[in-house]
Amino acid sequence: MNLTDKLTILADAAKYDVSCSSSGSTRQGPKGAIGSAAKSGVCHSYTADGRCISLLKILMTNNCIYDCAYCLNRRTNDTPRAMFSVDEIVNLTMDFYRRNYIEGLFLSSAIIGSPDYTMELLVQAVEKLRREKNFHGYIHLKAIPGASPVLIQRAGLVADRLSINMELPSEKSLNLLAPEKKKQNLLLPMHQIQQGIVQHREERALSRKAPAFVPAGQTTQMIVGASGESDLQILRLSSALYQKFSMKRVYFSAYIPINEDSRLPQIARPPMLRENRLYQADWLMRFYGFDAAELLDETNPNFDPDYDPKIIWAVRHPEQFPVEINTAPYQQLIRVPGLGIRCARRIISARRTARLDFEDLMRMHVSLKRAQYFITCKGKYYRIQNPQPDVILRALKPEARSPYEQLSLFPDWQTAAPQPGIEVLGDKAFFPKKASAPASSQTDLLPVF
Amino acid sequence: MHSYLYDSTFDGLLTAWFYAYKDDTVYTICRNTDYQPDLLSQPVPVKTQPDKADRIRQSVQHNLSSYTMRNLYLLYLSELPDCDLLGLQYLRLCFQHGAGINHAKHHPVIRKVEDYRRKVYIEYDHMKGFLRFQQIGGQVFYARFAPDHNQLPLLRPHLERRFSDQKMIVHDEKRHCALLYNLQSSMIVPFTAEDAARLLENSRDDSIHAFRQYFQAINIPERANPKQQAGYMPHRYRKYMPETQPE
Repeated sequence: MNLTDKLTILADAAKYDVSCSSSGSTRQGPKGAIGSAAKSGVCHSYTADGRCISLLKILMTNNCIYDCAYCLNRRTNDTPRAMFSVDEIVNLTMDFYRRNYIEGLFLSSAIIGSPDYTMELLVQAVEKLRREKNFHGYIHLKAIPGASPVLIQRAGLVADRLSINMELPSEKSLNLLAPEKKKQNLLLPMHQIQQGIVQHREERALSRKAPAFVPAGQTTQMIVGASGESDLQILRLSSALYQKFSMKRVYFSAYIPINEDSRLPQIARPPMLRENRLYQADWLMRFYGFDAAELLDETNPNFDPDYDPKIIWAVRHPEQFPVEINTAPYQQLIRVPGLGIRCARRIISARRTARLDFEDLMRMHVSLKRAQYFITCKGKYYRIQNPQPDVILRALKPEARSPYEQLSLFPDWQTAAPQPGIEVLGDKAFFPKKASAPASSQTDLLPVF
Repeated sequence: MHSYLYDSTFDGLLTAWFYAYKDDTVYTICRNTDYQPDLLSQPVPVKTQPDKADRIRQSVQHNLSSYTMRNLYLLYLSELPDCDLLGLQYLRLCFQHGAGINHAKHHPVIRKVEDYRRKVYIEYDHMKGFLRFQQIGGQVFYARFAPDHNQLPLLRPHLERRFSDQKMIVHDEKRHCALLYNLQSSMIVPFTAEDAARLLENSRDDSIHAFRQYFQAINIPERANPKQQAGYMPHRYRKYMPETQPE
């Protein structure tokens, strides 16, 4: 099998890993070395599914000892198998990087032999790139669950970002769909990486030369729509991950039916709209100062497919509106539907020089489509005085989709009944009271999980 | 009415601004290569004077801000139709109100300057990723592109930092110039299509086959979304991105 065939198989097997960001790290070699990493990341190409190619995203091998229900590479699937040698990975990365095809390497792997054996090979490849090839580009490495802490430590010293996939949003689903993966094996290395980052920060305060440890932080990802969790449960889990493990990102991947398996739901298309709503909520939590509990609660455990989470929050909180553009603080401005970080900054900047009216806003490219119902300029609404929630929602309802859309034989994700075999637990059982108490032992790292 | 003509250099533009600043009958400012005679104005050719250009530089840095200077430079790089005249309006506005006027994002001139600035930077971010090198023997790499705005001066520090151990030729086909880097230093020189053709004779780089394979394999057909792809990677750039072209 030649290198191109291997690349085809192992890139195809890696494509379900969502993360492709190359941001968060500033790496710069001395003159005469190759590579640099930009804080904001760089996208090098975009595939027909609209996702960016920033890193060379490959598996080292797709030979797996595990048999996870949702996975293309599971042991019981009849797919072509291949494996890269360490040198092949190194040379391919250098070849692509020198031609500016990629920003760096995203190396993951199925588990071959044992977790330790796999991790050892991954770390070898990255160490070779850094030490022999003097490569200073971005490297995102998957930490293999169950690998020894020594290997994770070594990986952290050479990679920019480490990630361990959460896989599924609850332990129950994990046991059902990926019975060989244990919750502890996922959470312990996350904990270790976080401790390493904290320790590095302390060392760094003492010496500028302290070796960097995972400078771009850690991330994780989980599949959405393969098991019965509600959006609320997913959001609570991700907000716990941000708080407990200081994750840089929690990625969601809409479940794509690849395997025939009675434990998996039958769907016609991946739930991409649901994924999108979760990301919108994720952004609201990370950049807009929202809390998971503000966006969803027990009475409304799922997002509305027609409206984004910010609008739903805004119409449920009429007491917060209208917001006066000329006086409201930044934190209040960014909570207005239709205003984002950039618009809010522009407004704050411009109102230092003059009192703004709606014409000024339009000139500043502030979109009033959604914002008009929630803001006043110099005390006046744009068109409708004191709009009521039902008026707003009617005005903003997305246009009916084409009647010629293909109908699904199976229920949509929203109305889907719980899949057989997956018990949707009551919230009490799922979110025990101790969720807010600090983790006392290592078995209790992430109580909401 | 006067039309000021300058010689396409930034110093030339600064000199033109210097002379046009006090002239209240400015009709337009443009490069002498782009000039089209009209009935309304007389052409005023401006000879580039580095000392006059420096006076503007010093004055902007000292009395206004380096942010303002950066905006003026980006206006020059944008090469959009009325960017030179806009620069003059911007300069007058800033000297009239001080650098603080940059906060007035609702002011028509400031807004337009911000828009142009954004256009240049957006393309700069694109080009950092979309530039494609091919190896032409030894450790020499050649790339060609035709950006809407003049990107070579912006890309230069980035490319030097990133590929400091490989010799590079980055050819701007639209402006007939190229960035040459010889491991020590870099410069931007005139460069024609014939020069490029001579360089590329008998050179072939097979890495593109592997990358094309990768580009196909990493796509998820179930999630096809060509509209989003076109939004992020406009069609006009794809000519120079071999992975998007058929073999």
